[in-house]
Amino acid sequence: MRYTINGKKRTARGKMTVLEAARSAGIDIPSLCDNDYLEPYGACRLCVVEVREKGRKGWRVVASCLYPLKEGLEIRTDSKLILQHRKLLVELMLARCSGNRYVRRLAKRFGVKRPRFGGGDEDCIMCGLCVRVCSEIVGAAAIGFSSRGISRKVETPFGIDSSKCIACGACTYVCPTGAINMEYERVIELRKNEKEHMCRYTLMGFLDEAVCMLNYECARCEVDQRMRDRFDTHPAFAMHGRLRGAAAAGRVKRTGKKGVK
Amino acid sequence: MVRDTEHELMGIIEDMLSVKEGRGPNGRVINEILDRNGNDPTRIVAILQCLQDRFGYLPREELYLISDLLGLPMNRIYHLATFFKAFKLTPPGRNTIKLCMGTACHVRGAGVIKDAIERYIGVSVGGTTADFRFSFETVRCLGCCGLAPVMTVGDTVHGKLEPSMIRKVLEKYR
Repeated sequence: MRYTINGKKRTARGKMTVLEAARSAGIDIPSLCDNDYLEPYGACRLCVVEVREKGRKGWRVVASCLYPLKEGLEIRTDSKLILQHRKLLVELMLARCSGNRYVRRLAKRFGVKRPRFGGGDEDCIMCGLCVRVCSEIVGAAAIGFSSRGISRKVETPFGIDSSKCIACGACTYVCPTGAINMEYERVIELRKNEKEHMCRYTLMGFLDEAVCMLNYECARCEVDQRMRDRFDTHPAFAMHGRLRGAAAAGRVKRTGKKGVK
Repeated sequence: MVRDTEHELMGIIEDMLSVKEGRGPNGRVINEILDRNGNDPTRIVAILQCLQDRFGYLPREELYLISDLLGLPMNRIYHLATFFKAFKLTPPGRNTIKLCMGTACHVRGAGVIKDAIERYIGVSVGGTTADFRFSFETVRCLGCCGLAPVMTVGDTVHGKLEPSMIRKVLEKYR
């Protein structure tokens, strides 16, 4: 498959998205909601590029994380229009999350000084990483989106404590803006009345009876620290594809379609 | 005679126990709805519509039951149920007040009417009174701008409203 990216001719083999192609060509495209382990989602739109299909005249602005690479595709990743688009997107994010330091850092990188729109003090940019990690990787499907428009938010069904949540913390790990945090006090509380909560490592399938006979959250679990030392990432990602616990049994089946919302 | 009563009692207990399996009183309804939709998780919106037709809202227990039976995670169902304005998650009152907030009604003072209704029933838009007598919502256009400002209570249309009329109109509904 031949394609042109920023004027350079390249070839690629197999199915891939424009974002993957660009990265393999060493071209950096910013993105927030993209994660190697998750299906592309197209929420942050920062990865927009201009494409022109073979035999077509006009250029189109598309989200590169969702757009499949095609024969003879021409791609522009840093045209004036694209930079303008990205800057506006970041400006909107800054307007929504004016106090968030991660968003502010992003704004600085894109040269956005003060948003022209009213300042909100949200932390969440609705990228959906936490929601997707919870159902696609951990398999717990404890959190999801609710409502729409300006009242859209991430929460558990009915806003009550979900029995599906295994307190693994994968959502807090992937969150790009630090909007989701672990309620450590409550985790400690859970561990105090030990028998009430199943061990999250057992639920994720790291531990089985051969390794640890207890299957509830222990007040003093060494695995906790060792996991962090060993993987240097969240356990759910480290074990991706190999999770086999109770939580993973309920994992959402992949539809094979890309960009399902 | 005794055996009959016993039989009946066993039946009731069985029904109570089997709600979770989708065979109980509401379980039967749910199963029927699911069967009508071919037990297809992709038809979840249609299933929710059927559920709302049957109960007037989306009852929580039944949603969890559907989630179990279809193998569709609750976060997806909740997402849909809150995404579409047509779905209600709380039981509606016996009388539903729909106040028109369309352009004509708006101009003719629907805002004041809204305040008057809220003052009379004691709940704001989207709410239901504690005794389930009224639920109150606003709609865009009822299609009879000549009667502006207009509202419907149940199926009855009340037009050319004035704030002072609200008490008299709503008193009739129990």
